[in-house]
Amino acid sequence: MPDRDAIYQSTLVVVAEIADMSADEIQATDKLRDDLGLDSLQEMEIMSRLSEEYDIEPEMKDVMNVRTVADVADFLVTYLKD
Amino acid sequence: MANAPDPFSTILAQAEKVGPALTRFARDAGEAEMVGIVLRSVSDWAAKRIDAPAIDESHRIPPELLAEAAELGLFGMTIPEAHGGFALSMTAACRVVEELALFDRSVATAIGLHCGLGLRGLIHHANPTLQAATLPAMATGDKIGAFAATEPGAGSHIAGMKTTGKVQEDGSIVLNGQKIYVTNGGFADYYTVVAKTPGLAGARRGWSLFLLHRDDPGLSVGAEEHKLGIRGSSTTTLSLDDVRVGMDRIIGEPSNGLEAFHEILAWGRTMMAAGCLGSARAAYKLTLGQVTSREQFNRPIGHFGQVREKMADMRATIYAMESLVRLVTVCQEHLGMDINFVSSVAKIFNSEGSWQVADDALQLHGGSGYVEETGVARILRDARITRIFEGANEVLRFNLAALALGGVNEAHEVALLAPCVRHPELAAAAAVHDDAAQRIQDAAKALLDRYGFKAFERQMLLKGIADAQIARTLLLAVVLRTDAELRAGEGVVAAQALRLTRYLAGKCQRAIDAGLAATLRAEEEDLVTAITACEYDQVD
Repeated sequence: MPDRDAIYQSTLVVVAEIADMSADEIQATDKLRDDLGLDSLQEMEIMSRLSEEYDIEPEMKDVMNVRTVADVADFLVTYLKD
Repeated sequence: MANAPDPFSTILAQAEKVGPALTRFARDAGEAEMVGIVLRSVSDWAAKRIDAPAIDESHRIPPELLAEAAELGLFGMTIPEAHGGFALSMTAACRVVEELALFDRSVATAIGLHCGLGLRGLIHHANPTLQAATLPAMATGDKIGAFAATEPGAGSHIAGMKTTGKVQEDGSIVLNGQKIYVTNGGFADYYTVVAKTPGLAGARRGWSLFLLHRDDPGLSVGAEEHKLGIRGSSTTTLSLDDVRVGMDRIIGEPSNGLEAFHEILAWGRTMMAAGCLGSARAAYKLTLGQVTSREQFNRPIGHFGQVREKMADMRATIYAMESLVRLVTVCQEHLGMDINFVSSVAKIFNSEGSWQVADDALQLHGGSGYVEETGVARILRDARITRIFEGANEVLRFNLAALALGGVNEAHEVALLAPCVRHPELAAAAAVHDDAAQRIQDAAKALLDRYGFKAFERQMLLKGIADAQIARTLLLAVVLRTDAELRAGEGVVAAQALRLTRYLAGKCQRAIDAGLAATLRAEEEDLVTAITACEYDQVD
């Protein structure tokens, strides 16, 4: 299983690409909507790309609870550990 | 990603208040009396002074016409009395914009944009000093407002915006960027501009709304765009090249402007939906004259079944459009609700409704409809943009479906209309709504069960959910309104309202069935994906 840092880094890359920003502009505590200005479609795109990368199938209720960049990475860490 | 409260539950919980409010074109009886006088003045002035073909042909609204509109107080409709305006409610302001659109969509767009997107931020989010400095002149029409959000690389997606305001050592902010499709851009004095503001007010990042003035050094307005319709309205680019402003030019909270931005957009969508209603009424009015006067085989063409079908459909569509605009304003003014959902439904339905009504109008005019002189072609051209601006309907449909999918996990009981309806002849229409409520929830759950969160990628299937939600919302609005109309009295108007509602119930039933059937057509979506992938691969 990839370690937490690797998961966080790949999350950052995907979020940066969807938000059209450079990765060093983004912090773990950034809220996807309020800080990065993303909408629901862009949030889903992030989760879609990461779930393909890690070959996982999260449920909607898990995805709905994600608010920050760290939440995305934490969700992946927990999912992959379980 | 949490959802807002279910709008249907909120509305139906207060159905006793909503129904009667839907029967009015103003906030209350007192305002209705005043708005009635305003409407007569607007109508008399517009009939005498607005030369719609000339505006269309010259691609401009004569400045003296705008000055006359200002004399009538139209630019100050929504501005508080303390700043020289008339403080009309959202319901009443929409009714006036609708009336203007009946005569000319370019004029309605210019005034509606000023009163809507151009002023909403200033009135509801700006500091008192900025309000005092700007609103009195905007109320008299001496100064005109515009709103600049769209950029070459970003439509309504705020994350993609490049326009940036950078904080300077002296506390001022320097703005750089490019905005496109700025309505009123050519003659506006004040522009509400959205920009990224990294580092502003201690926030690492954020978005802020700025009020810029046409004379601000570094601000330049581009040439007029040549458009298919609403040709008299001004549409330009706006370039910001080191435009320096103080913090006092920020509307709302620095770096925390997203909420205000979305609230302003919802208001703008509602005004636009009201303009669509006026446009549809204009097409219908022309067509009513046509089908009752033009004869074939010694009888008016309006007596033929297929013509009657189109006329009834146009009239019912107009009733639905009117009910939806009122539903939005009632939700905001009487229930204090977030209007994102209902304003999106009204924008989608009314833009498509105005297009359909204009198209049917042209058809019923025969060859003469295709000739510019009858005015129907101009209405059709004017109507086309409304499916695109203020959020393309495809994007808004996705958002509606996303809300429905998000609501599945909240496991709330579906809100029922039938218990709120008293008139027995509306029971069947209410039952269509209530049946749809459960079926839409079931269809959304089925999509989630089948695709997980990747249901969001099945946009063709999701469109069906959105279509069903639109039809359900429409039924909610018309049934509550008609029930209240019937309670108030059983005259000719109420009897016709009942017929229109029964007709719309049948139409909505078919739209709901079609929408929910579309959620099952995964194979067709896969086929569409394969077809387009093959085509795209062949592009050099």
